[in-house]
Amino acid sequence: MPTPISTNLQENIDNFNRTFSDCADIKQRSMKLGQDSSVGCFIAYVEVALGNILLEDSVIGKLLNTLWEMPEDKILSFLRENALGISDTTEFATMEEAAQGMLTGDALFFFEGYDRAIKIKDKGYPNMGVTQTETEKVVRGSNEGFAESIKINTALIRKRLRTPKVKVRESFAGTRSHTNVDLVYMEDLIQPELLMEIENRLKRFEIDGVLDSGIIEQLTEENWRSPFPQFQTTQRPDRAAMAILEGRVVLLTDNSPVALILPVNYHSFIQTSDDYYSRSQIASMSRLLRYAASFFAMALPGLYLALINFHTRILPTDLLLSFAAARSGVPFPSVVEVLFMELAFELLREAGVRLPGTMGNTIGIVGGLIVGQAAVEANLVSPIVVIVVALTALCSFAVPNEEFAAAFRILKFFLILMCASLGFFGFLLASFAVLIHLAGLYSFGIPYLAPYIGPNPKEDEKDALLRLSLRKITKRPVFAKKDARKKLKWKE
Amino acid sequence: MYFSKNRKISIRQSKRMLLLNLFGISSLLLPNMLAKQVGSDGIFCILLGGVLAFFYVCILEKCLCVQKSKKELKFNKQIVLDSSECVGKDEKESKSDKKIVLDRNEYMQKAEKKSKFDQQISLDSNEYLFHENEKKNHFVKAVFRILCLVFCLIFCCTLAAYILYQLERLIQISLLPDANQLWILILLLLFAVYVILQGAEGRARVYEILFPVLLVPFLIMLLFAIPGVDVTAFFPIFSHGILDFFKGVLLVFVFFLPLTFCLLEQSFCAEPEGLAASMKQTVLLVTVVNAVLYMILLGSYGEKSLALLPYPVISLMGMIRLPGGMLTGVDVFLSAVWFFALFCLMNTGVFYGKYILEKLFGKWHRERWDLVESKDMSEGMKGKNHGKGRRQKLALSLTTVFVFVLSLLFLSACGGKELESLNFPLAIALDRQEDKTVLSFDFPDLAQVSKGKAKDTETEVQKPPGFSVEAGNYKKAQENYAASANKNLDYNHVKALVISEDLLGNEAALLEFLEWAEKDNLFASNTCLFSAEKGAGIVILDKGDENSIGSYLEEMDQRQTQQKANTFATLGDLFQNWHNGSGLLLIPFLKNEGGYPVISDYAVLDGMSYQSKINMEEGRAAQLLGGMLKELYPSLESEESIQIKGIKVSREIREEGGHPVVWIKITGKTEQSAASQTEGAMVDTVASQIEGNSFRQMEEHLNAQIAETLTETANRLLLDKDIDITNSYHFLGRYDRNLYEKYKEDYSGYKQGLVFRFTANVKLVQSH
Repeated sequence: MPTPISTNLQENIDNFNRTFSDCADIKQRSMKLGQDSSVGCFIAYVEVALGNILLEDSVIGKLLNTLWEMPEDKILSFLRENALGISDTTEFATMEEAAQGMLTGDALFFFEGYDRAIKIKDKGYPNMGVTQTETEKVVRGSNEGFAESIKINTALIRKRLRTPKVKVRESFAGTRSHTNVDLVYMEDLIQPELLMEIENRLKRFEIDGVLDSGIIEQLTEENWRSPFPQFQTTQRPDRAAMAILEGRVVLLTDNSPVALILPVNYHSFIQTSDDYYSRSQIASMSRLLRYAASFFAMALPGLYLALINFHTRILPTDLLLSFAAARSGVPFPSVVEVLFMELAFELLREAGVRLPGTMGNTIGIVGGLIVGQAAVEANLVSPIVVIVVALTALCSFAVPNEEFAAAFRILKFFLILMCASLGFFGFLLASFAVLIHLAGLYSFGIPYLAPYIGPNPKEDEKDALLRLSLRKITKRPVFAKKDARKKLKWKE
Repeated sequence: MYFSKNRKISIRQSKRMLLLNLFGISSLLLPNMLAKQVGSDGIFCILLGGVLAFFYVCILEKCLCVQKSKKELKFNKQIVLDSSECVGKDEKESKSDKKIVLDRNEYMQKAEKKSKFDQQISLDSNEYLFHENEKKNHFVKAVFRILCLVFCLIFCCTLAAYILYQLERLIQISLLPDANQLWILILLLLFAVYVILQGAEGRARVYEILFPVLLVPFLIMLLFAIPGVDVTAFFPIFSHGILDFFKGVLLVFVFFLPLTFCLLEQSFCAEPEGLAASMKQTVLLVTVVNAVLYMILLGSYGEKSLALLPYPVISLMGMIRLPGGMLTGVDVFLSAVWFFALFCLMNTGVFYGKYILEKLFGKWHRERWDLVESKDMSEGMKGKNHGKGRRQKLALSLTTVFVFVLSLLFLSACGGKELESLNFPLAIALDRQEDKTVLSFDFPDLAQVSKGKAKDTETEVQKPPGFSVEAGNYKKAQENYAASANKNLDYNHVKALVISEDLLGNEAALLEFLEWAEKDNLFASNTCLFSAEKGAGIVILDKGDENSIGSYLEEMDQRQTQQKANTFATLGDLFQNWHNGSGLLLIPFLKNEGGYPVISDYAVLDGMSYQSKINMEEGRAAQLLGGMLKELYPSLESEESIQIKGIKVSREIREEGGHPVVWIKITGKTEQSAASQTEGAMVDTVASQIEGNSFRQMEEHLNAQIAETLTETANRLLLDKDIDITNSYHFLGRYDRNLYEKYKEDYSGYKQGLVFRFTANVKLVQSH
């Protein structure tokens, strides 16, 4: 049963103290307002989240200074009408709502005789602010990255899309964390069913805490068994803005610098923001490279095993003899060699992520050069396997999206086993299985293999494997509403 | 609304699947069958078969009773719309009757409103047929069901089973000769079920993506195969009986029968009205591709060879030499084309067989269609999840079985061999000793390869490693050798075969070797052939450099100045001679000169019969007449040094005075040779003094000399050694049909009466 805010200040204080008993980080202050200091006031806030409220240039400071000098009989009407014109205030009718509002990092005011609690925005919780993105580096384009505050993130998007058609729908997730979740989209481009679908999915679960967008991603994706992600993650506001212009939805989660973009397809993980900032020839070549990289990140070790164990006649004689000479003295079968090196590499990768700063860089050099070299000289592995594994790793790094690349890293082991057992036939079966899986995978109704399959291949493939000149790409991709796909018009 | 999950496939997807279905099976099996049936007339059978298939498409078109938009009947209106257009909407009522066209799901679940004249509205012919069937009496219903069942079992299931058999055989021949075939079959079936679980859309998408990936490399490889085509193999035309010819046409038509699936496919097609046009385009494309492919295969292998190859197109892919020589044996990669194409067809048969059985006996699971525009999305989601849950359970069971099978395969090491357990001979010598064939090997020194060391010249190899074969039992001899050497032999990188003269003359022993080589597909068909007095003596030669003898012999083909590259006799040529029963093969005869093998003569095989050795000059003449030379230095009376380039050889064979007469014309142009430039330029001096007619006289003199030399050589070889260096018998069918018919089975009679007429038209080019 919600507790209404009382006009009796003491009652409100008692209710508040009961709610926040044993909360040493919740600070309170009582004060008297009005010319004759007869109007009681009570402020509550989270320690550190509020600045110096008495500062002249702070909103709360200005409000208090005004109220201290105001006649008592005018105070309540002043508050009711928000006469000071403070932009970010919210009134609450119940103690529960008021408590929740205060926990977003703002200040909460109770006044004697006023049956509402007022929340006023101030400094807010400490956060990292806008920093350079670490994971999605580009050759050309902005280097701004999302912050941990959802408000800053929506502002970063709004900065790039200055139209009232960009809508932000706010909701909350997590029964205990009450984490803000915003859906940002372009009203006239988006498929309305898409918005309905994501909102339904967000309502379908109840979890106690949402600490990162990854939790929402896993709880709302359709095919959770698939190694392929059905949301795209990004820390770049320009990437998010581009997605919104394509008719997609960006899901922002408070306290997470990672935004989720939906729906997705295979191609959306391969393209990067600077594909559109660079010339079409460069962009096309980069895309082809990335597509090839995504294939070889999965297939290279398996193909190597298939060729040397089953189909030696494909290789040129000199190369084959060089492989045979390199393998002499190695005590393990080639599949064990490959698995050993791949696992070692995965360990190195994991260690490099966990170690801070320069140590993380060093581990790559230590692991790659010294351990690899030592393993070769000890005849544990042959040099060619080191090269194959290194190339595979390079290919996986070339895939722009880390979650997407992780799928290939997992499937690589499946292909290794298939090729070690069945040679090229195993490779065909495994690739076929992956392709069948992708053919049946959807992300909010969009097939994963779009735009290569679909009703308008000629139009959609202008910005697919190759990126044609921007002058020729006049339509948005498949995500946008059918009658809103035209994006480029030439003036006569 | 976004287009997904409407359970429909687009016309592009339908066309691509149809193309793969037809192209895959026909390109794989048809060449071999046609070669056996009609030989060189197969091209015409393919074209006529295509025409027949086109008529079949026209018949099927009539059976496709999907109407595009509105089709007005006399008393009623039948309104048939695409499901995506009509979902959730009510149709406008017609004047005479009320019809509501509904989504397929609603059609199945709700009762149709029947008009006064009992109209039927169907979205596709299958629904119409099945629904109509329900209205009729039980006897008709039973007959209809039996017919459907028969169609399903005979056509769909039998086709699928046959394709599965061919797929397994293809894998066994091209990819996994040593694997346990039962496991392969189990895996294929598991995957087939997995594909079917994805539904029509999933299947179609996979092949839509695979289509360019498969067809483009195949077409590129076909282009590379064209230079190797010998058009002589196309002749004579219409040499087989009319009955055989029509059997051939019928055979081609049978491979177009999968078009029948389009009757069922229209239910799944978003634009069924486009099916007929796409069928016609597919028939045209497949006919053209098959015709071109057959011509290339016939020209590359010859009629009889082609009839013996199980999968000629795969063998062709293995024979093609890519520029740069980076990858060899690409037939392994290209077998993926037929793997996926056959899998597509097998899948189609199983999918539609299942579909028909479901229609006849009811669905085994009540899967509800996803409603693209459901009025109540949660209902749609529930329905989707209900069917989806069952599919997921089945997928999980399949995955478990698959993992189990894969683990067994992995642990049993399905035919793979580690590199260190293999020996790679680069050259093999075949000798004959005391009624045994002895194989000697030249193995590379791996230590030398890895460390870059020069070959150990101090150790003299007295006898190269190898084994001897008794009574043609090569397999046993090889197994014994592998057991004793503790390594298996991998012949895929053999560069050269050196066959001793004794063995060449022993046709039976030679055939034993060829049978073994062909049966197990051990050697690449472009392995160079050489001959020597003793093959082992060549294989053990130490040239004092790091190159193995096999590589050295292979490179000899590229080092010839006068001869075109890649014209040395190969094992593939020997196979063709064997199967086709004719053809002149010039095998370079080697001797040891200062530790190096050099060509001293040429051993001549006519068909499979060893004739004799001929010297270098005679060999050059034979090569000239075979179009194998890029330049020639003829020896002339005046000892002038002349170089002839741009050589072209044209021939004609006709009967004159009851004898076959071979007319051969040599054209080319001379250039002053490098030798004459450095040695005083006699020709240049002579040429500079020539004016007008004198220059022409010199030209005529040169041409006369060339013709005379060739005539004398050809006649001498024919008389003394029974060798026709023009190889005219091979071309007989192309130039004179009557002669071909007369001497078809009488080669010796042909040679007895053979007369040669040589003319030369070499232009003398004045140097400045």
